[in-house]
Amino acid sequence: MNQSNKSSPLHERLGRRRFLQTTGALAATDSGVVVPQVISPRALASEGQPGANERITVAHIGMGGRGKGLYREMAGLRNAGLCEHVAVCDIDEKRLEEASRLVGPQADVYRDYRYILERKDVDAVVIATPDHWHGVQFVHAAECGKHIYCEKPACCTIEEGKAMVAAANKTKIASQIGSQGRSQPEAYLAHRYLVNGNIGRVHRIDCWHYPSPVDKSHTPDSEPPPELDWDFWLGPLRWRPFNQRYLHGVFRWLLESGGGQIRDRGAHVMSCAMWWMGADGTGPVEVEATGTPPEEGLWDSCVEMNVIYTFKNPDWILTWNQPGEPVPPEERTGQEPGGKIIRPGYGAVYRGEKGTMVHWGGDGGTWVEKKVRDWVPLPGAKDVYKSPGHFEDWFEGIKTGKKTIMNIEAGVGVAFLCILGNLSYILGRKLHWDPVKQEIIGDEQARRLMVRPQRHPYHL
Amino acid sequence: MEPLTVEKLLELLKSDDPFVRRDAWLKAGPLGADALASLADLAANAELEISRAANRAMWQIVRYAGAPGRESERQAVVQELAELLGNTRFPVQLRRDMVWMLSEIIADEELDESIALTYLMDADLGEDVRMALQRIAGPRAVALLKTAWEKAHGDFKAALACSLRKCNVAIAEPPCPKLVPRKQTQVKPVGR
Repeated sequence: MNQSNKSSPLHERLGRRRFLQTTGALAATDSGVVVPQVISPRALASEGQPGANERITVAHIGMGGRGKGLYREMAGLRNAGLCEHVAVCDIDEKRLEEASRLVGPQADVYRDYRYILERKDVDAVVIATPDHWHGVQFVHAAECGKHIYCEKPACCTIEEGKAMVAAANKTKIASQIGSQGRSQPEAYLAHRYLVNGNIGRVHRIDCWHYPSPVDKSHTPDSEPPPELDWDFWLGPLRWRPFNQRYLHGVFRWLLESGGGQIRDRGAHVMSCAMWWMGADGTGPVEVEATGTPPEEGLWDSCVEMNVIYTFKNPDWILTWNQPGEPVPPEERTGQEPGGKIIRPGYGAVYRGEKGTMVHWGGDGGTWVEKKVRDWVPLPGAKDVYKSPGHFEDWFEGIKTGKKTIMNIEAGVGVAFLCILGNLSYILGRKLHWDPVKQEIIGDEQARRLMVRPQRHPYHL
Repeated sequence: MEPLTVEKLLELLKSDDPFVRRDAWLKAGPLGADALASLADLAANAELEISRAANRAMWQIVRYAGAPGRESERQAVVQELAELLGNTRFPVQLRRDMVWMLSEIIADEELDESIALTYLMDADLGEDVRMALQRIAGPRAVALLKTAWEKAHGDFKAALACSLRKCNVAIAEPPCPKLVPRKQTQVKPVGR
C-alpha cells in the first residue's frame, strides 16, 4: 500500500501527546501492514477524553438526503468524542432548518458555504451537494486548508478533476471521496482473493446496473419555490430557468449535473475494480460507448448504456452495462460480514484465466460470493489494506497525513472513467485517451469537452 | 429504407409518439447545416416535448459535424449557427444553446471579432459567450476577452479577468471574488 506520511494542518494542530497515542494504537493493531484504527471510546475513556481543541471540527455543505445520511454515519466518531459538528449549510432554507434541527443548536447555519471556509476553527468539511458543485467546492475548501470528505463522483469534467488533485496536493489536505465500497468488509475479502491469484490474471470485468429512469412528467419551466436559491443551486452551471425536474435528488438524471447511473453507481462499482486491479493512477487508452437516451422529458442521461474501456500494460477490459447481465443474488443468512444482499441491481463479474468472481453492490453495501468469503489464506499469502471504515480512514488521514483509501487522485481517476463514458456516448464515437497526460487525443471537439467553463463567481 | 430528409425529420419530430421523436432526433446528425434553421424554428415555437426533441436534434448535428474528418460539415454548421445566433426573434435560452454549440466546434480563426465582441458585451448572451471563449482559448478568443475586459465594469469585468487568468494571461485587477461569501440565510439555528 502506498500510505505515505506527510504533514497536515490538523496533524500540526493536534498535540504531540495525542499524536503519539494514535500512532501507538496503529502499530499495536497490525504487524506488517499499517492498518489505521480510530481509538475506541473505551480506550479514550481509559486515557482521558481529548480536549475540545483535539477534536476534528467538521462543517457540512449540502444537507439533503445524502448530507443528512453522512452526518448520521459519523455517529460513531461523534460519540467517541473524535469530532464535533460546528456548522451546516444548504441553499434550500427548508432543508437548512431540518439540518439545524438534526445536528443541534451548537451548529451555525449558512446558505453560503464560503462563510464556512472563512472560519479558522473549521478543520474539515463534508461536501454532499449535487455533483456539479463538487469540483468547485472541493477546490475552494482545499485552497482554504480544509480537509475534505466529498461525495462521489469526484468531478464532472476532466478539468475539474485535475484542479482538485492539484489543490489537494498543494495544500496537503486529507481527502476522501465517498466511494465507500472500498471500505466495506467484503471488499477487503474480494481484494485479497483476487491478488492471491484465485482466478488467475483478470483480463475482463463486466459491470451491470439497472437502467436510468425517464421523466414522463412534461413539466414546464416555472418560478423557483421561495425557500430555494436557484442561482446558488445552479452555481457553476450555465444559467437556465428553474424546472422542478432538476432537483432534489433527480439532478442525477441530467448529464450536466449528475451524469446518470454511470457517474452515480459507476463511481462505486468501477471504484472497486480500480482498487482491486491495482489500477489507481492508470486509465484506459480507448473508451467506446453506446446508449439509448430517454424518449422524452428533461432528463438526458442514458436509459440503457454500454461502455468498453480498454487498458494497456497490463491489458484488460472494463465494461459498464445498463442493464447488462445481472447475476442473481446468492442466498444468505445475514450473518455474513456484509449481511444480506439488499441491492442486487448492480455489481460486476471478474473474469480471470482460472475462473470468475462475482460481487454485488459496490457502495455502502458490497457483497462477494461465498467461495470468496470462505477462502482461507495459506501461510505466505499476500495481505491487502483493510479499511477501518470510510470516515475512520479519512480521520486517520487527517491526523497522520497518510494517504486515504479513496483519496482525490483515486476518486478523480474513477470519475474520469464515468466522464469519458458519457462523452463517448454524446459524441457517438470512440475516444482515445492518454492516461499519463490525462487528455483526449485526436479529437478537437472531445478535447474541448474536457472543460466546461463555469459561471462567475462559482468557478475553480 | 427511405432516406431521412429535413422534411421527414421535422414530420417525425412532430409525432405524438415520444419514441418516434427520439428515434428521429438520434438520426439527425448527417443532415447537417441544412436542417438547423428549421430545427431552431421548431425548438423556438413548438410545444414542450417537440421543442426539446428539435433542440436535441440540433445538438446531434453539432456532435456529428465535430467528428474528426468532417471538416466541411463542421464549417457549414458553424456558419449556419453563427447566422442563427444573430436572429433575435429566437428565445434567449435557445440562442445561449447556440453559443454553447459553437463553443464545441468553432475554430479560433473563424471568430468574427466585431460580432463576437458585440455578443460578449450583450446583457443576455455575454456570460455564456465569455464561457465559450474561455473554452476555445485560442489567440482570437483571448484577444476578445481582453478587449471586453478593458471595456467592462463591475462583476462582469471580474468574470472576464478570471477567464483571462484561466487562459494564462496575467491580470491583476479586479481580484477574483470566488471565495467571498455573499449569500445570507434567514434561518436561525433551531433551539439556540
